[in-house]
Amino acid sequence: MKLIYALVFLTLSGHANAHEGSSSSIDPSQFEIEENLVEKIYQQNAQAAKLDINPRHSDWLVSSSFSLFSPKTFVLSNPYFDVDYGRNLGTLPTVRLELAAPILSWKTMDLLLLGRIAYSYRESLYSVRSKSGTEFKDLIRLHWLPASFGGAIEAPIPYLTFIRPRVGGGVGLQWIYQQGRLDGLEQGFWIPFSYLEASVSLFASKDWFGGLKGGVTWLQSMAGAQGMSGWSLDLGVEFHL
Amino acid sequence: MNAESKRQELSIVAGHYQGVLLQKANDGGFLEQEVEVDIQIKDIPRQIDGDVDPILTPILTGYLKLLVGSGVGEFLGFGVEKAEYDPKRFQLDLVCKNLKSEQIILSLAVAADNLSGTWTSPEASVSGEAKFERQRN
Repeated sequence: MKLIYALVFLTLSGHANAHEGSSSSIDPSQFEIEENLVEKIYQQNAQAAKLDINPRHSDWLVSSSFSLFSPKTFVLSNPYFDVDYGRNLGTLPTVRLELAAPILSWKTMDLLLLGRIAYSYRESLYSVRSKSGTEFKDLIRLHWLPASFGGAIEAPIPYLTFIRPRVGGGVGLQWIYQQGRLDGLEQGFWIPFSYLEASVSLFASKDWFGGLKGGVTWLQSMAGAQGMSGWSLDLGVEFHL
Repeated sequence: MNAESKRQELSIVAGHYQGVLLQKANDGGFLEQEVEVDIQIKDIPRQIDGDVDPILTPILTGYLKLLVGSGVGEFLGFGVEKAEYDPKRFQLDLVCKNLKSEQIILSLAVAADNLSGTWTSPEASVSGEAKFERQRN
């Protein structure tokens, strides 16, 4: 390799000097091998090949997925009522749309910037407790719209490159709207939250198909009055934009 | 689950019941309201893609009567808008609605011929206990 660089350098130096020098003759003593420079070029190339750091500006991924959110705690409180959805809810089916932009790649590893939005709706009977302690039942319509952004690291498993595990996390804001017949129950809530996710992409290809995706997400609200935390099981499909 | 086994499952709660809705009074006692509840199984046709004939699906339907006045036949009627029976928990939830779209919601535990649990009128923001007994003819 060193020899190749030396030859290339010699050739380029020769051409440069031929143009600069007189047209009649070429003095061989003008050729100088700058060994430090060749060494420097070699080191730079070797370093770049080793790190393989290249900013990426394309290859965006969009994924749509279906999730089952299983709350551990999910209590909404307003000045009149407390509704413990965690006790009554079971699992909440959710549809989700995610946009992933690779911003950096290192060897086979990608650093992704994520933006996601989801929606869920459920109408069911829930136990409602008034501030005076009276227990009611009401047929409540619950809308849930979380939106978030975050980051993730994704890399294929050596020798099983069709499997790409991903770990990530982020923060967001969720809008929850409850509607019922009890006077004072209807209200919207804005609740900040954070999440951590671990997922796996399978059978991703270089063309439009970005692979099948499955994973789990832990969601935790960050507001004191409204408590919400729980797991969601996510299954989806990814596409290259 | 096929229609026949679903029908058998629902037949556990189908029937005519009489009972009371109780509401706590200010003096510590209870106000009683006599009630009749009728729960029936009804087959509704449901179209499934690819099938020519619709499939009959059994659901629970019926009515609730708040018996008022001293005369026979005076009542406030509510139709059963939504009924869900959970055979694992022996839990029956009824959402009943009158012509003014006011609701009475019953959340009842099923035990042989008895139903017991709670009732709520969301519009009036009142609730209390409910007890019913099946009437055998």
